[in-house]
Amino acid sequence: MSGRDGERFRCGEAVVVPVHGEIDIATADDMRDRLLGEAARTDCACMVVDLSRVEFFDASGRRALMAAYQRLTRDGRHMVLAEPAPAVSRVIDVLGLSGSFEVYPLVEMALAHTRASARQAGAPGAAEHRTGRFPGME
Amino acid sequence: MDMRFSITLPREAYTVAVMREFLGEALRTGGLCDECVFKILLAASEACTNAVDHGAPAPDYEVVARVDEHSCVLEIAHKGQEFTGAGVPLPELEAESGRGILLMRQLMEDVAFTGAEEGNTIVRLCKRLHENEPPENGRGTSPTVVLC
Repeated sequence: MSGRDGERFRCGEAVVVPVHGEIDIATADDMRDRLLGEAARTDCACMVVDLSRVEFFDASGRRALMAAYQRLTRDGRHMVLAEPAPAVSRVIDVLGLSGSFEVYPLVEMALAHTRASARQAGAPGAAEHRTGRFPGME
Repeated sequence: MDMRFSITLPREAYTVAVMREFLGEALRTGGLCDECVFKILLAASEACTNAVDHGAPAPDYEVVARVDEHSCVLEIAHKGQEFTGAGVPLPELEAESGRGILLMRQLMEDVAFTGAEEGNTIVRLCKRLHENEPPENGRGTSPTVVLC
């Protein structure tokens, strides 16, 4: 598993994908497809999943995030989680997601990480900050 | 404060959110604290997810809730295939349902799987309510809601 101690991919361009609403058995696969779709559309090196507006999150959400993470990793891309809402933090803590994902308390901190990684790799400095909207259940 | 209700839902993914909405409103009306409601709804969501995922060929599943001043007890039942998580070891949980069971065990004081011998699968979730935060009477008095 990737962790904070190892940087496996150059992360010069980042796309921020906000996830909204309730993530459960009915919506988790849509979230996974949305993340993978944004990755394909933007051809980003790094995806920051903004979880600040998630209102409910259960093990189905964990499975979907892991599926997206594994797919992006296989494609040589990087995915990190940012700003988990309290509903997400609790599940992350119980299921030990922080051992699998990099989790940043703020989106800006995740982006700062990508910029630092890009500088280390000699890539253009600023992370590209795009947003896409997840059509969750609101 | 005593409250009891049951709700029967089609075994479809969208109904898990319906269950949360209904159960959450009932628990808040009954005066449970936000922390208790959060834990109960998350555990119930996992149990209902298992019922939807593993309950074939049953067309529906039932959620029964009983709340008094000491505890909240939920039973999520279906007549589909037997599913028992009783023997699932916590450290080796990889399957989706296993993750859900891990969450249920973390959130509730007691998680039991019963009813297999009668052709039912029943997940029984029990949450003790905070002794220092007893349920208030809420907006109603001992509501009894039965939706079947």
